[in-house]
Amino acid sequence: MSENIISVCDEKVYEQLYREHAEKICYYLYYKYGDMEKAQDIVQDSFAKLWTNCAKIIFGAAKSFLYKIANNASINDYKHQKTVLKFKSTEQKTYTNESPEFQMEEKEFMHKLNLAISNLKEGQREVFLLNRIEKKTYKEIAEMLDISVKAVEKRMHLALIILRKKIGNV
Amino acid sequence: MDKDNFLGRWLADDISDEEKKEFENSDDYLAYKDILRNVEKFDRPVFDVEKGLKSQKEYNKTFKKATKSKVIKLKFWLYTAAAAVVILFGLRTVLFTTTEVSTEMAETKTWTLPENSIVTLNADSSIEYDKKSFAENRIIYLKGEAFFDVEKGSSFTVKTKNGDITVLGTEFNVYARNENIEVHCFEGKVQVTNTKETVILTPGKAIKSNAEGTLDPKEIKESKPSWMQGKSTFNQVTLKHLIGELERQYDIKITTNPNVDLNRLFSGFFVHNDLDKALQTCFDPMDISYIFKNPKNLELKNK
Repeated sequence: MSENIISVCDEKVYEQLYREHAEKICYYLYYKYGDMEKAQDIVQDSFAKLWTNCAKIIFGAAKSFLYKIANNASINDYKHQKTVLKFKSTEQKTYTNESPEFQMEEKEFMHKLNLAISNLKEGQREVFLLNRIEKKTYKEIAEMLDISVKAVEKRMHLALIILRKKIGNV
Repeated sequence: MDKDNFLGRWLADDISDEEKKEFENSDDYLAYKDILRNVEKFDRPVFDVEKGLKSQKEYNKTFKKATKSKVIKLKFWLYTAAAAVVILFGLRTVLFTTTEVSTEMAETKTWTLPENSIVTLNADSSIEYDKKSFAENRIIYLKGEAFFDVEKGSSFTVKTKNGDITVLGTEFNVYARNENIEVHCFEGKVQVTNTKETVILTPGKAIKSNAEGTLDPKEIKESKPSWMQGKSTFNQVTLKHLIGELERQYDIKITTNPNVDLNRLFSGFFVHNDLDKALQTCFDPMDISYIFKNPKNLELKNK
């Protein structure tokens, strides 16, 4: 009977879990803290915990275990730190028919937007970027963060209003 | 527009056609669209899954895996250890219920025994008794010197290596050091037994073992041993005995020059709170001089 149970200790199963979740958790943490290195560290620790406890965790619960560990780790380690996001702008287009003035304006706009996003509250920023960049639905985000869909909706709403206020009318 | 998380719903395409139409005609609409369009231009760092997985596997090797069987083993050992500790403690309380009270050099201590008998220990002495059986047989082991104020009741026995003292409620002093035993009875009746004989003492009487091991009778005048009043009193004791007492009371070491006869007899007393005075009262009458080699060491010499 035990053969029918998928064991997290099974290397294949573990690899599958990693391929499925590591990247998502990493980006989620990145959007939250704006620090890719920290995000990767936490991901590594979370998966190490999954590995050391693999005998105790049933396959179905692995995902929520990982998110729980990732969330706890973040809270423990980085609670007191105020991180500043550093978003890279996409590569400059190789060709353009836009005027230099327009390009300047756009650059300024991006800079302001970047700053405004950095200054969003952690909860708002992670939700907003998961939705806008990762294209996650509210429902998916709610599951990830263990909050209600309504709460996600509210954070999105507030985030957008704040961004609009910070940037003003360009 | 600010109501009901409107923007949140709008982004999720969860608004009615009318709301949508109205919003799309407002000035805000373009501003928001602009923000959203530009947010998407932001890039994110690359997360290389395969590379991450590889380093993850390396990282995991530094951890010990908590397998189920290991958990059970640990628990088993924990229970075993816990049981062993419990058993040991149990045995300890069953088998070793001895209480030991002792004094250092130059220290006296008063100790209340179960059933309220009181023991006062002189310097460098110890008593030992079994907490459990003490209530039944009232046996106490003594090394050194102690004064006993025994509560009335069943027989009370002080065992020393030089003889046993058995009493009914009473006050008495026992001195048992080296080969000597000396018992002073201050109240009630005391029975002293050593390997050679048994003597019953009444108040004011005392015995002292002699060189043959028999017990010599003695008279006493005090109502408490003199050491309890801060002095040691002696009647016809050897110099060796006296030196031993001085060492105990003052926590010092006394060496003697070979020209000093250690078997000379001494009668008198010394106080416990003034070493110079004590030395004078002991040795001046005997024509013995004393020299301090250091504050804790002194040597005796015939004058």
